[in-house]
Formats: sequence, C-alpha cells, structure tokens
Amino acid sequence: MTNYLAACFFVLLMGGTFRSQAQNAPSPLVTGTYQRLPLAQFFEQLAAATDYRFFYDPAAVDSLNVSVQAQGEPLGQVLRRALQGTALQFSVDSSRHRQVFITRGPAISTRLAAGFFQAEATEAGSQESRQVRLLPEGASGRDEDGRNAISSTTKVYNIGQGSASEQATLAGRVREAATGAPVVGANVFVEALNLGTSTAADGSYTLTLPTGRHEVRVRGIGVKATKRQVLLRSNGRLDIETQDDITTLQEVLIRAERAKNVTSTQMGVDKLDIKTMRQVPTAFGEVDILRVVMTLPGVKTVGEGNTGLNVRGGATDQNLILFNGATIYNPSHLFGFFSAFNPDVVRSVELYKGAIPARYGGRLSSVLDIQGRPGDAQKYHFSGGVGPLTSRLTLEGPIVKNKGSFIVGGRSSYSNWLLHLLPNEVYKQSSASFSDLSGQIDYEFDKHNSLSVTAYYSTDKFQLGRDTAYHYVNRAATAKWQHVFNPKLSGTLTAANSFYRYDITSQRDPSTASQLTYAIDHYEGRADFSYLPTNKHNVEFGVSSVLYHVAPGGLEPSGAESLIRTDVLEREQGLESAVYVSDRIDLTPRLSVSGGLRYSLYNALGPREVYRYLPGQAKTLSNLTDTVRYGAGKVLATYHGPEYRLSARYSLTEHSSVKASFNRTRQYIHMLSNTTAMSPTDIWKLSDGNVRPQVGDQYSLGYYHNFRNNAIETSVETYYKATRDFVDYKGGAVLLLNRHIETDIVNAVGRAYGVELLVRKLSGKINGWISYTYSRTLVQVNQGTPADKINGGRYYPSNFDKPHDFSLVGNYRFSRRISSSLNVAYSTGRPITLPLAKYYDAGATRVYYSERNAYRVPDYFRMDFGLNLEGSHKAKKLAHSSWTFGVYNLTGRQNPYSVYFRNTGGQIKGYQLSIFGQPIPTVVYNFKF
Amino acid sequence: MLPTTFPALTTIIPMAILLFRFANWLALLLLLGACVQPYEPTILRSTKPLLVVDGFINGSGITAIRLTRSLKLEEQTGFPPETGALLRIEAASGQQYKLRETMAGTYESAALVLPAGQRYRLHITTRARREYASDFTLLKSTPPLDAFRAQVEPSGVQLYLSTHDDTGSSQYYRWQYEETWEFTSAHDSRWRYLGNKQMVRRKENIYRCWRTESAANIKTFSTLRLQQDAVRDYRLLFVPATAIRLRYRYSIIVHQYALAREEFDYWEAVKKNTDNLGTLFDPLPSQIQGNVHALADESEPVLGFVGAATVREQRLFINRAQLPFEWQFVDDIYRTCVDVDTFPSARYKPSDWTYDEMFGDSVARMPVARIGPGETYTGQTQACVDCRLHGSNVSPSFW
Repeated sequence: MTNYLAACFFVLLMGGTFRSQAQNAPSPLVTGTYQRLPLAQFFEQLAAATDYRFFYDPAAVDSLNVSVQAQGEPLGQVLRRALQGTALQFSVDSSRHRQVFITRGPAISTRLAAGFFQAEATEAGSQESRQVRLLPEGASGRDEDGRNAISSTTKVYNIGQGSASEQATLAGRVREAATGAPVVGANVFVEALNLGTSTAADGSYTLTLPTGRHEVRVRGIGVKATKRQVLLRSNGRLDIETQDDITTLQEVLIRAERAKNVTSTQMGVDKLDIKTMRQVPTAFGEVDILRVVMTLPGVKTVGEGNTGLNVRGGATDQNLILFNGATIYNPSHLFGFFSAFNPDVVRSVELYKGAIPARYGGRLSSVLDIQGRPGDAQKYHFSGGVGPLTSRLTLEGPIVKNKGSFIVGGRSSYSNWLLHLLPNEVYKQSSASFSDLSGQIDYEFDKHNSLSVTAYYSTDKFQLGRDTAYHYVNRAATAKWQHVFNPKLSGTLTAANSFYRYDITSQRDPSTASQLTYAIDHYEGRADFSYLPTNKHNVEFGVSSVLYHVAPGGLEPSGAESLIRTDVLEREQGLESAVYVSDRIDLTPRLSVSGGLRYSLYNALGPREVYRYLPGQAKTLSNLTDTVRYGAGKVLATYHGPEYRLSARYSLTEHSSVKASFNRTRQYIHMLSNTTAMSPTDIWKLSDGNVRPQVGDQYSLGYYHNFRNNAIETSVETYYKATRDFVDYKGGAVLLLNRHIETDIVNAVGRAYGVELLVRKLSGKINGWISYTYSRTLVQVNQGTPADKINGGRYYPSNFDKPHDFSLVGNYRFSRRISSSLNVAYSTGRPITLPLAKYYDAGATRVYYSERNAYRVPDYFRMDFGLNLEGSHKAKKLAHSSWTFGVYNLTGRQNPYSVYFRNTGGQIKGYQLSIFGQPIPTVVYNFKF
Repeated sequence: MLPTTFPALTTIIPMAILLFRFANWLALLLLLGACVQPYEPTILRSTKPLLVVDGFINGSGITAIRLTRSLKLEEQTGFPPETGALLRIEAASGQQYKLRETMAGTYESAALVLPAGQRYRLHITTRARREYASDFTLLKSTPPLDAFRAQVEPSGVQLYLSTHDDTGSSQYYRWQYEETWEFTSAHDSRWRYLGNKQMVRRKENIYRCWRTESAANIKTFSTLRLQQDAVRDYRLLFVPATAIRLRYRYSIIVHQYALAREEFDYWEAVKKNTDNLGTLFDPLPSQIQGNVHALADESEPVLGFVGAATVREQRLFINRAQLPFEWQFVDDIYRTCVDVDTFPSARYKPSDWTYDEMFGDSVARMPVARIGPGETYTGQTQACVDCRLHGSNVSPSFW
C-alpha cells in the first residue's frame, strides 16, 4: 500500500480528482483492541476491518506505536483517538472510493472546489465530444496530428472536453520513441485508483477512469517507466512514447509484473521473458525455452534428453504448444535434446497450467504460448551467435519506417563434424543435422488496423551409417489482422496452418528397403474479441475452428529389389470447432471473479472406413462385427461438450490474496507413443468412433503473498486433477501402420494432485526463483480382458510420477557487464518396471518383470553454472557482443536416465544409462549489429 | 461387410529393426557425455518360484519339454528342475501322447508324427497335483530352408538364410541356432603327475576341445508386409573377424520354426524385454503372459509359450582356410597364459620346492612338457592347460 503514497500525494498536489458529488456512505464502525501496535500495522488491520484504503507516508508513521480500544465506534473517532499526540492528520473520503489519507501537517480535503469542472470546460473550447485530442497544459495549441512526440512527464494533458459524466474512457497506444514499435504487454495504470490495464499486441490500451486529474503510469519490458499527467474530461486518446531501456531491463520487467501474481484472477500461470531464459545455463550453450519452462513448479519431464513436458501430471501430448498462434506438433531437435525455437526471435513464453483462459482449448494440461518478437521498425540490425553445435543469425528492420517491420531468424547445426571426428567407420558415414527458420512481418495500416504474418520451418535429419535415415519437418504460418472497432471493442482475426511430417528410410537390405511416412496438416481459423464495457468487466469472446488432415502412415518399397508391399493407411479427417465467452468481473475491490465457458464440438469426417465392434465389449479383432464406409465429408463420429473455466480471487491484504479455480478441458487429438520419452516416430491420432476424446477436470486453490514491496513473490498452489479416456497401451502394442489401432490402445483414467511452492525474486543483484513441488500422478487401466488390465486394474504411478521436485534458478549480477547464474535441480527418480525373477527359456536366461512402474530409478540431481560477459553498454556503438561460458552438470553426477537389465554371460545384470554423466563446458559468442 | 485380411498385431519387422537401430544410434551419439554403469536395485519384492515351460510340440519327431522354476535375480544356483510331473500332448480330437521324464525336469515323447492341420495342447500335472495346460494351437508345417550361407566381409563373416512358403501360410518365422567350434588351450599337456614324484604320459587329449553355445538372441521375422511369403538373405548372425570361434573350424546349426501369430507376438514381446532395453526410446518392459495357464487359477503367472510346429534344420561349416589369411583372432580366455614355469630351474630350485609342492595341486599347476635332459618339466595352471574347463574334448558326432 505504501508505494501508492507518493503517487497519491502527487495527484493531490496537482489539484485532486476525487469526485465530490459521490454519495457519502456513513462512516463504518470499528470494534477492536489495539495494543502498542506499529501504526502501519494498525492501518492495515483497520483496512482489513473496514474496506477502506489507507494512504500514508511510511517514513512519517515509522516508529510510532498506537494503543486504542474501540467498541462499535465510527472510524473517524477511532482514528482521532489513535493519532492524538502525533503530528499526523487524517481525512476520511467516504465517497465510493473509501479512502483514508494520513498526512503530516494539514489534512487533505477530499472534495473538489465548487466550479472546478466549469472552469476547465471553457479553457478547452468547443469540440466534438468524442474527439481524440491531446492538449499540453499551457500550450497555445495542439500538434498537427493531435499526437505529441516524446512528451514531458510533468505536462498536463487535457483529454476531451468538459463534461459532467462520471467516467470517461482513455485510449491510445504505447510505442517506443526510437523505433515506433508498439510496446506490448506494458502496464498502463493509475496507481492512486489501483486501476490499470496492459497494452495489447499492437500497443493499444483502453482505460476507463473517473473524470478528473490522473497520473497515468506506464511500465513494461524493455522500456523506461514513464508517466503522463492527464486531465480527463471525456472520452479521448493519449498516445504515449517510451524510451528504450537497454540496461535496466530486468528491473523494468519486475515492476511491470509486480503484484500481478497477487492481484490478477489468473492462477497457475508463469511468464518468462527471453532475457530471463538466456541466463539459465544449458547443455551445449543452446538457449532452450522448453528446458527453462521445466524449472517451473508443476512442470516435469521424464529425463534430460527430452523436451516432452509433463504439466501437473499431464502426458506430453496434453500441452498446446503455440508459436505465434500456430500449433507446433514436434517442438524438438535432435531427438529432443534441444527445443526447436530460435531464442533470437522469441520475445516471451507464457505457460498456463492451472486456469486456462477460455480462448485456448484442444489440450488437457497446459498451454505454452510462445510469442515471437516483431522486428525493429526504425533501423536494420543483424544479430547472431556461435556455439559448439549451432550458429544463429537474425536480420530485422523496417519495411516502411514506423509502420511496418520484418524479422527473419535462422539457426543451423553443424553437429556432423563432431560425429566424423569419432574413430569409427560407422560414424563417419553417419550424419545428424537440424535447422530452423522463423520470420515475422508486422504492418500497421492505421490506428485501427494492423496485420502480422509469421512463418516457421524446422527440420531434422539423422542417419546411422548407410542404414536408416530419419527426417522430420515442422512448418507453420499465421496471418493475424487486428482491428480496433472503438476504444472498448477490438478484435483479431487469425488464420493458421501447421504441418508436421516424418519419414524413415531404410536401405540396408535390398529386399526390405522401404520408406515409412507420416503427416498431419492442421488448418485453423479463429476470431477473438475483447470488449471492455466498464472497468469492472473484461469480456473476451470468439470462435475457432480447426480442420485436421492426418496421413497416419504409409510404407512403400524403395528400389527395384525390395519385396516390401505398399501399405498406406487411409487418411483421417476431423473438424474441431469452439465458441467461447469469458468475463472478468470485479465484484468488490477485494473480490474478483472470472468466468468462462467454451463449448467445443468435434466431428470425425470421411472418407474413411470404420470398424464396428460388439457394443460393450473390449475392442478386439474377435469382437469385430462390421466395416462401414463413409463418403467424403460425411460425419462418422461427433463429440461435444462444455468446458468450464472459472476462477476467483479474494484479496486478504494489499500483499496477499487467495485464489481458486475450476477448469475443464477436452482433447480430440492424441499422440501415440509407447516409449517413455517422446520419439520422432510418435504419431498423432484423431478421435473417431472408436477412440474417444480425453476430458480433464482440474480444481486448484492458491495463496499468494508478496514481501518487500512486491520484490519477493511467494505462492502456494494446490491442485487436484481427474482425467478420463486418455490413451494408454496394451502390452506389446503396435502403433505404426496399424489399421485397427483401437484394439491396441486402452482408455485410461488418471488422477493427479500436488502442492507447488514458489519463491521468486526478479529484481536486484540476486534474482531468480526456488520452487518445490510435491505431486503424484496415477493411472488406472481397468477394462478389457484380465490380460489387458494393467497391474490388475489398480492405480499405478505414471512414467513421470516424481513426487519431490526442487529447482533453483539463481542469478547474481556482479556488474552491468558480468553476471553469473546457477541452476540446481533435484527430483525423485522416475518410476520403472524392474525384473523380479529370472528363468530359462529357449536357450537363454530371461527375466520376468514386475508390475508396471512398481519401482524407481535413483534420485536426480544436477547443478549448472553459467557466466555472461557483456560488451560495453554504449548505446551508440556499432556492434554489441557478449560471451556466455557455462558448465552443465557441474558435479558430474551420473543421473540415471534409464535402468535396464541384460543377459551377460548367463547372468542378468543391471545397468544404468546416464546421458550427461560428466560436466559439459560450453562457450557461446553472441553479437548484434 | 467384414474385412478380409488383417495385418497381425506385431508384424512390422522392418519397423522394429528401424527403431532398434535408431536406439543404438542414440546410444552411440551419446558417447559425447553419456555413460553406462552397473546398477543393482535395492530390495525387490520377491516372488514365489514360477513354473517355466520351455519347449514346443514337435509335429515330426521327439517333443522335449523342460520344466523348471524361476529364481530370484541374485540367486546363483542353477534353475531348479520341476521333477515328477505328468505331461501329455492332447489333440483337440481327443488323442493323447504321453511324455516320459528322461532327465530331472526334462520330459520327452516318443518320435511322433502328428497329423497336421489339427489343434494340440500340452497338459501338465505337477507332483503337487496342480494342473496346467497350454492353449490349443494349430500345428504349423514349417517350410525347408532354401539357403543357409556364410559371406566373408572385411570385418567378419555374415550368415544369411533364405526360405519361402509357396502356400503363403507360414508368414511368421523364428530361428534358433547353436554354434559349435573347435579350440585349443594355451599349452598342450603331455604329462600327468600321479604324486610321489611320478610323471606319466597323458593319454587323453585336454588340449583340443569343442564348445557348443546356443543363442540367447531371439530371431524372428514376418513376411506379412512382403508381397510373397519369402525370406531373402535374413541376417541371422555376424561373426567378427577377431572371434576365436573361427580359429580352426566353426559350425552352426539353425532350427527354423513357423509360428502362429500369438506365438510370434509372444516372442516379439520377450525380445523387447531382453534385447532392446537400455536406450532412450525403448518401449516399456512388460509383464509377459505365455499361453500356459493353471487350470484352477487363471491369474497364476506361468512362464513360457508352447507352440506346435514341425522343425527344419540346416548346418553350416566354416573352415579356417575359407577365411582371409590375415585375420587375427583374439583369445580372451587364454590371453594371459603366456609363460610356463620350469622345474627344476634357477627360479624353482629343488632345494626350495618338492614335486608335490610344484605339481601336487593340479588346479595351480599341471605339467606341460618334459624339456632337456633329466626330469625337468614345464607347468601352467589348469585354467591355461585343460580345455575341458571350457568345452568337451570329445568331438561332436557331426564334426
């Protein structure tokens, strides 16, 4: 609360804006005994007891204690007695603002002088009432276009013209003064009123305020915090230009996000910007978005050579991974060692793991929204980096200065040389390479219309010897048109296409030389609207539709000698549509609720042949009764249902709040993989008459408390999640080229629960976060024949059930140019299936395994260290460069990735495989022209 | 309309191979930082010894079934045989064929020729009067091998086999093989110490022996995805050029079985559990159920799969002369057996050592040869001299 004081005084000195005509409520009654209580605490308790907000200078009340007893006395009386004998005065504003001002010296009048508004009206002259304008106080006229360039923070801007209405809407755009680029996600707020908003993707904002004098503040990532003095008379427009903030970026970010964790209704969301992610040391020095996300509470992965995320007990296919709004089906390079996003073109990453906003749907566990960075609309830049495995290069610049920009970034590996260094013929014939390319074009037609087009391409190839070659490709493109209808209503129209394919070619034996292919094509169209009728409502609504085309697999002979029979599975089609609406309502200053409803509808479409099984029986070949052929466009199965997205926040004090949410999600597309880790041969399967959609419900409850002026954020979140109809496999299931996959998969039931603790400090020389999670993830397969039931139909731990999970990401800045970071991770070992007995059969000793996941590998521990050396920070120099040194797995601990048993000389021996079993040092050089 | 043909569940052999190689590949790439270490799990819940049924119903010949019990992983003893059981082959038509216990836990039928196209099962009654039976399965008729050949490659010998079934009814194949090779110990011992300073000429050969090993690998293949029911140049085995097995003469016999789909699936699953583990993209190991069940309790795990088929076999020999002259074989067993001790000599003076002390314990030292004049003998440990520790000194009948 105290941090509001300065602003409050400032506003008051400038003339005050508090509405005098508001109806005054009777002064509230106070009951309580306060014994030698520090004044600040006394005010806090009174605030909690009365709904009134207290404004005071902490320096003035410091070291003062108060003892007072009250029995149903009015607030004013209690305060009078409490402050007796001090130099402090108070005034109670019992209008609907309900505020108490404590001052040293004269008390503050909470009412405006009579005739205040009339006087202003004559000065502004007669203008159209809704005209957009700006008028620096004391200036003789306006700028030509009604905008102002870099403006002084002390001038007073007249907005609109005299009007007696209580509220008015202030709208405009926040841009960077140097580049003209929109400042996205910056907070625009009036601290005194605790009202604020953040800027949209085009930098626009809308704020409904009481008419009168305000100080509008702007804080955001990469910009210097600024403010504007505004005299708001009626609806109007204020464009704000900000200065680039090169060196204090970290600090600005924190301020922008300050107290958001406490005040927003959103829970279970984590936002990371690329600067933070760059600090986290990684193997081979590749800045890896997904790997940083894994350090957040509630996010796990089965092992380190793997980018598959398990969010709050969800499977790896239950995450919607969006890059600029397009779904990415395989977000990894090199078997999952690296994530397939070039850090140079990424701006921020947001992970929704709890209450997923109604605008997102289609996956059960989480949404990972990766936002690309728009190019510099002012001048051309080059930037890039050189590391041991890859190099990056990014080019950006204006298309039309201040109107349009582009950015193109590419990354390519040269891991082949490493491979060819190894003294082995097989490696010399092997190859492994990957690359990705992303681009974005932004163009602003006018204040109301802007267009953004993005494209993404990533490819991987690897081959062992002259034998089997793997190749996979992700492709995505989006076009987004944003339109502002009026300051209260804006909309975005998006068209997106995503494509993923792989092929595996085997050439070793001429008689079995073949190529296996798989592909999925995803066409999406959506319209999203945002409507802000008043400050108390924030309505979002929209529609979306996705058309899927899946080529589930094809095996074709290659070469004339091949005996392989061509086998191509029939294509699958599906249409997933949804409508949604959500509203965030501030019921009282303390209580805010957010309710959303998404209704999704899925149609599996022909042309296709569908097998029918005996109703109520396990789907086995012996229960197959019929084959039905559906024509093109015919619906072969329909699923639909509501998805609830509810959350509420109740503020306990200024620094703490409690939140609760309930969330239902539905998923119509399933990834089939019977390996523990994600592998390049995993396939996506659409729901159809035999494979039902997955449904998940999540309940969560959280407590949030900020300390030290919001510098330290803490939170405790608990959740319980129940999922049904997610895909599990029968023993020995075959997923590739299976025409009746439904006979090999089973619908599993899952439940997950956990507690997540997070302490986060994002400012200062020492910053970072510590998270601890206790969680369980259990699966049950209790259908079909006794052999189909896994572990006798009882709940068993899923592959990624790691109850204890601790991680620490810490950064220490020695100076502006030298910073270091430390990353510590600990978790319980993942569950495995171990052999219980050995026996002799068919000429060898074999092993009999335990029930699924009955045991665990040893615990996991890893520590990484990184050091960043920046070049000088002269803003005008030709090239900026930096060096990153890092050591991954500093302690060299051999964390078992997998444990396996092999028959060696008649003995069954256990082995553990560690992926990074020794410290891995790296050096990366980054530059920017 | 019912679909006419279905690919079976686990038939994508090329794919399995692809995946396996991919997994290997990874393990290799991970040399950069990866490492493999021994691992011993702590305290595993112990299970009761389970009944293991090893063998198949032979459509033309002797059916041999071995009954054993499983062991805990850490137990070092041999697998305990299940003795005193009553076994019989039952045809679906009612015909029964009894098996006789020929060795402890091994039960054999007479040489039978079972009518093909019939369904058979194995029925077991243990000494404890517990009854077990395998599922009825159709007797498969295995086609003969077309070729079983060795091809010399720069780094070793590749063994290929080919077979086909014109009727297209085999489709699923499994091969088992046994390798036999001739080898010699490090030193040819011509003398034997009887004790009491008595040296006599050794009559039996303990220098040249033959060793037979059956393969632990499971070799299966399906032709389901091929246009013909034909296996061409299947890579059964690769013998590296350094293998000591090739030093004198090497022989391998392959047994070919046609399988029912269920049996093929079973072996695929066993293969997944035993051969393919330890890399990143391995499928999860699973608790495998065979086709033998306790009649009283469906849930009692019984290990093993009893199929029914005829067997085809072919043997192949490789002589040293067929192999490149420059190949060098690495002898892992006798590599350390370089020097011999001489007695009496400057090192082993008769004043310090007696004959009994030198040669009394044959494990520590066996006499090798008489050198020079008088009673001077060389000697080496039994491990370096007696080839019977690693094989048999009786040449196999087919040699």
